[in-house]
Amino acid sequence: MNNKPVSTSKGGARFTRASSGTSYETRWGWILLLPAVIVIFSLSIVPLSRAVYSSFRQTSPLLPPKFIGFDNYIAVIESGAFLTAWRVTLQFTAITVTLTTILAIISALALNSTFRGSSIVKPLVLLPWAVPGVIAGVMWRWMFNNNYGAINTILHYFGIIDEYIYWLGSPTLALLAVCIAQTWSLLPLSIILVLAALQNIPEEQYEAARLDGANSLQVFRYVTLPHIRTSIVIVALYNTLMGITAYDIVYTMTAGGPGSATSVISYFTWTISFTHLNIGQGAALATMMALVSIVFIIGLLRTLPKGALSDVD
Amino acid sequence: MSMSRGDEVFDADMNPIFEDPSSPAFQQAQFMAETIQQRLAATSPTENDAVRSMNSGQHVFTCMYNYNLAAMNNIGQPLAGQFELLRMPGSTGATLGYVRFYSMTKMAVDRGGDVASAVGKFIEAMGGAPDGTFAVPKKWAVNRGLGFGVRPLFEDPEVIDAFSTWVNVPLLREQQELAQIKREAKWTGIWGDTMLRELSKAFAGEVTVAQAMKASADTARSLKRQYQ
Repeated sequence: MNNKPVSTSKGGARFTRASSGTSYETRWGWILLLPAVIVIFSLSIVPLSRAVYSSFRQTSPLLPPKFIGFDNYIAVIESGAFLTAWRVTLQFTAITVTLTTILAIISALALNSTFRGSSIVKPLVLLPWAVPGVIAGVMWRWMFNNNYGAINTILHYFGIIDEYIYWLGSPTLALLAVCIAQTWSLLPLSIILVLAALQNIPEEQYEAARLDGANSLQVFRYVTLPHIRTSIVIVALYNTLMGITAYDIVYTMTAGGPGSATSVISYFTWTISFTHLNIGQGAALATMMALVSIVFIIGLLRTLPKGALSDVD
Repeated sequence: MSMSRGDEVFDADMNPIFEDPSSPAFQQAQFMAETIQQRLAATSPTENDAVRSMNSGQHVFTCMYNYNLAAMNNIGQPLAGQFELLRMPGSTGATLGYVRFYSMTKMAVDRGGDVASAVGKFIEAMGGAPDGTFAVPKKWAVNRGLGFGVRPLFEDPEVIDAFSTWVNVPLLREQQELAQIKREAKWTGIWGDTMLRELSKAFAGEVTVAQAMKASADTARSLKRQYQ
């Protein structure tokens, strides 16, 4: 008869301590998270919400503010420049992602081996990463200059071209030129990510494959590629986002020209917002750009095997 | 260049008049598109690029602001002294005149008489002649080759000496006398960007000059309605 209340009492005491411990940990967890939550909220959530809010309003220093529903979205979608900008952006992104990924794999494979001077080459590969986008854009604009650019000089010196090419004056060549500059700028980080994955592949797997008679291509296909697949997807993901939001290199190299040949969506957004002073339409474009980026992120993440990201060191 | 052919791009009511193929602006755009597509001329992304093209001997004629002529003829440049000013071509030889613009903000006015008075004195010192000499415009002109909108500086021996190193001063003065103001509205700055882009498309061969002019005129009409 007496056991029951004692037992209840002990159990109750234990439950209370456990509950107290959990709430203590939860409370501290929230306190420790708070600085990050405040920073993310004030620097990401608030501006993002403000942009979405502005996209439904007439927002311009020259016009009275008012709610206009989806008019901003309709106006930008109906403008011919919108579709052109997306076409150029997708071309630009497709070219840069493909070029960067292939070159990153090739470069990482080369850098993963030890060769004479590798300790000098490896840090040098990182150099473009340290160059800000605007500086890279100006540098490449000079290199592609039709009158005194290094690229024309080199090609002419080796007899590859008979006369200097107006790289940034031709729509097709200008797009190619900005793609090359963007690839140069994105390559270092991509190489590092693939190289890190390559260095985690156990040597025993290569030995086993060779003992089984696999040639170099088969070793790459069945040993190397599965191990670097996650890194390749991350590289593609990162470079896709960089392509969709590319601005600085395009602005400094071509300012969207010639014509609309390099007018990517972020440059178009900037023009609408700050040259046409239509912040509402600019916000509508930025919102659409964010949604498209999310679709690309989800699409690329789905190509990964389950739990792959948790394996990334 | 439209002005040098005899007319502007808008009428007095700010209606676009450049769609008409016989208008000076249309003819000028057509001339530029043809010369660029025939590879007789090229556009340049920045003024500096145009200066370097001239100084490297790649180009022999360009249309740019006066201070770039000063930069090209500056001692130390490879071809310094070999570049001359020409009068604008066309029936009138007119050109668009720019001047530096100083203004007082509403914030300054709201802060009261003392601040407004100080701002007024500052503007007078920067652009005017508070002690009888246009000190600041003269300094910019002598040191940097920047243009000015005050005629008395053309009589100043220091300005004449400094300008003579890079430009034919009487010809510059003659050209400046032909400078005109252009018709402006609140929305013409925004329209100007559209016009530049459409012209760039026409120069690149993406659209015809007629299409570019029509698109620019449509934008002008739309902006006029929006901002009226």
